[in-house]
Amino acid sequence: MIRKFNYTGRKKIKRTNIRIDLLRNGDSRRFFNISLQLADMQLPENACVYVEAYHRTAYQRFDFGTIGECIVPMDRRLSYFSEAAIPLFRVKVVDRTGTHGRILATVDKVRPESTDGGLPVGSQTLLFVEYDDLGNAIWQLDLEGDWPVLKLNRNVDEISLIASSDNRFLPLVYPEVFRQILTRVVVVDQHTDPDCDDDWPSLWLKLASTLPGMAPPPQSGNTFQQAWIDKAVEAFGVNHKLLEMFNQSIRETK
Amino acid sequence: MISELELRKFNDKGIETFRTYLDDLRGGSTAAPPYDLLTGPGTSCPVEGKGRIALRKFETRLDVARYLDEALVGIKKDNIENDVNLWSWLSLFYFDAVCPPDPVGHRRPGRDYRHILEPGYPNGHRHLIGGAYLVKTVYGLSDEISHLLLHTPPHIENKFNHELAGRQNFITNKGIMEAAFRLYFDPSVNKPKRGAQLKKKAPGTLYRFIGVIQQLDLNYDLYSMSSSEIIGILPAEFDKWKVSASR
Repeated sequence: MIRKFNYTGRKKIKRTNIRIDLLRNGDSRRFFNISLQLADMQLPENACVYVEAYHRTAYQRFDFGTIGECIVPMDRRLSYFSEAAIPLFRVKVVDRTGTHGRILATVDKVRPESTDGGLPVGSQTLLFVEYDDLGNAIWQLDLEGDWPVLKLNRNVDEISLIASSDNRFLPLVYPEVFRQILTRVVVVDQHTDPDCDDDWPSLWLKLASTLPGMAPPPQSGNTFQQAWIDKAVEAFGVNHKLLEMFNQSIRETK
Repeated sequence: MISELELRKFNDKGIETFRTYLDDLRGGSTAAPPYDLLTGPGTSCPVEGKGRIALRKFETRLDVARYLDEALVGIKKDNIENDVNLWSWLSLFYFDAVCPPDPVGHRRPGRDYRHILEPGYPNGHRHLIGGAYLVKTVYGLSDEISHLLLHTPPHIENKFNHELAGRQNFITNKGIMEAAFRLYFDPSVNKPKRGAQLKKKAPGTLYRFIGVIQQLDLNYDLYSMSSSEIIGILPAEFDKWKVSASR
């Protein structure tokens, strides 16, 4: 089992204490608003607060003053990011009284709650959706970035509509997505503790473990872990009534 | 081969034909590069904006990056680093540089992503042309520090580029990149010091630098630290490199 040690007493900022929204200014340039609740964390008044936005090659850092005197920067434009990118955010509280800046509290991979288009994104979204040129593939799961991304082939006619409202898409695609993610987390990375942290592997484990009839995954044993994944995928299908959904969709198209 | 062209980019057919050519090379073909794809209306189209591109003799990947930094100024920049069609077209345009023939005419292209961009992690930075532009222009590393990653000839990607440019929290952090440069680059010979790229468990080498920085990143706000401060908190296994650190 992978466990993460915290020898230095860094505090974890709760995701529920942060809300980030992406907006557009009068010049159609994107910027972000953030609501940060750090008052109850008993952090030093003079500790510095930084908000960092990042996506692939792009990174921007914003200075929000200190715990005692939060100064929201006027310029919160996300100038370094391409228009299609939805950056993730990191918040750091840093003690700069010593020789080097020591991190006192942090939270990473915070997803904006909403985008300028008004689409809800949600900080607890487990799977992001992006559109890309995938050659002849209709979809692909990308587990190599900061968060799982379901990539849809932008060259497929009406792929956005199909993914969001065609009732055959979810039963055909999501069980396999679920299986691939659990396989990566449990079998490949040997991460089996749903309560370890609030990073995506733990959140997906928590989702699987709380499905009807499920428990946390076995801590070892490839065969047992594979069987657990099979059971989780089945439970996912039952819980979302995927077979019924698929058959209903077929009947409607006849 | 045309020596100068208006900038264009491939369409899907251009990319697939180029991919087939790369595959043929790996199969032993000695066919000449299909330069007609660069201008054929069925395989390419003009880019948004204006720009011309010329054949040049590049000694290093940094030379490529410097040239493209200027040559691509006039074209639309949003998301340029992910433009598969543009970077693949440029790869064919400079094919003699990124995939030179050996004395008997064989070319060894390596994996497709070296020539046909696969944006993002894990191979986006490994495109021989686009990866060089990323370091110099998109990440904006100074010429000096870029040397560490781009000192090789255009057809060779070095370990520093492979390992550092693919890690966002390294390549976007000027302090870390400057620390790596100071520890591992030897300005007197204009290339990395000997032994800096040794395999994973050798003390103080590039791979250990990455592992140690990742640990330190949990506790220290590395973005606010200078290269000297970062070098200062590295453990004793780096002492050998610290002693000879530049500046």
